[in-house]
Amino acid sequence: MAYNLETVSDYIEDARTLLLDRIAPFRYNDVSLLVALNLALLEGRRLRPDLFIYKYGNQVPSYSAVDGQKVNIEPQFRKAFSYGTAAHALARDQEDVQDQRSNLFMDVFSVILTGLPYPAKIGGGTPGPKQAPQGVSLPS
Amino acid sequence: MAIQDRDFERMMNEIRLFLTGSSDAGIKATMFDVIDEFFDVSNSWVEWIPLTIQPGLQIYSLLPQKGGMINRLVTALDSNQVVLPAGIAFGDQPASTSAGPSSYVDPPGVVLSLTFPQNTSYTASVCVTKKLVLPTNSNEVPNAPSWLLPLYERYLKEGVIGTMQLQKGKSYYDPTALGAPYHLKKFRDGMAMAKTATIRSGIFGGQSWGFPRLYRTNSQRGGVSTPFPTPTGQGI
Repeated sequence: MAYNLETVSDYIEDARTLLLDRIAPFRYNDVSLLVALNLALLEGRRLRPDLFIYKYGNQVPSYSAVDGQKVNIEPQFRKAFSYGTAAHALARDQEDVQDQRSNLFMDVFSVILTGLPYPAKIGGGTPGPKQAPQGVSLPS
Repeated sequence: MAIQDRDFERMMNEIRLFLTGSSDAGIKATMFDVIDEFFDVSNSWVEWIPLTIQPGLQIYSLLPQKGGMINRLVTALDSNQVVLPAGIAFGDQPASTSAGPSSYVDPPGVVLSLTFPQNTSYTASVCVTKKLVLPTNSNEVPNAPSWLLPLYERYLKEGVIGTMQLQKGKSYYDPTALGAPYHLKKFRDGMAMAKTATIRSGIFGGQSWGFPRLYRTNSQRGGVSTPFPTPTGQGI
């Protein structure tokens, strides 16, 4: 495994590390992680269009296979896209605990790219034990 | 000769120190704009271009031979170093009243039109100022002359930093007094210095004043003494 995140497979492998999903059978299949990587690249283009000029012109790169295709991102920003990929994957899970983790990863993604946490947070689902919806008091 | 790698790398490293979270591509893109503005304001990128004058022909295509794009005509001199009245136009130029054909010149060239037709063939010297033009080289370094960074790197660096500090939504966004305004002021100072140095032909202690253009000449034809023997007499 390469440790400098140069190819699509590098990103997917590192995202699996963040997702604690390195042993087959995987919880997140390759296609879902590719979609997550592509979405992270789209969001990266929105936040930092300068990362894509020269290498991609007016296009945003998109990948359809986990292979050795180069992902031309400058080295100091590669970690952001690894976290962004993991964040999108986690956001599709339904467990509430994953929402927090997804938000955390998205913040890492955003802080590296812009210096600020990601403004849009995901959350919701069913209330946890001993938590009531707003305005409702639980019996003591 | 183009910008040297060692000069470019030094400038990139200096800029990275100030702009945490910046991308090299972003720096290079901004640098193109900053250098372009520098040349546009200072007129410091000058080229003398030989031009073969033909009898009766007033319209000529003028192309820079050492990179860049022509943006202003400084002067045109005939073979006796006497000023040749002329002007430039961008793109289309209609046929003149003489035998000159209609011309269209794409950047980086321009159309040069002589005010008066000439009756002999000779090689004139045309002095122009230039600005940047695409493409950049393979490493996205602007195609600028090699003397630019050794002479003006300090000021160009300030221009890049100040410009990038005004890009909203970036970690290095800094519109405070010690941020972008401070750096951009130093950049403007550098442009003013370069402009003055160009006007004075790089002469230390030189003055920008010259004879009014109407009376300016480099020859003594007509019994007029040569008023200004330095290169600034060329009309820059």
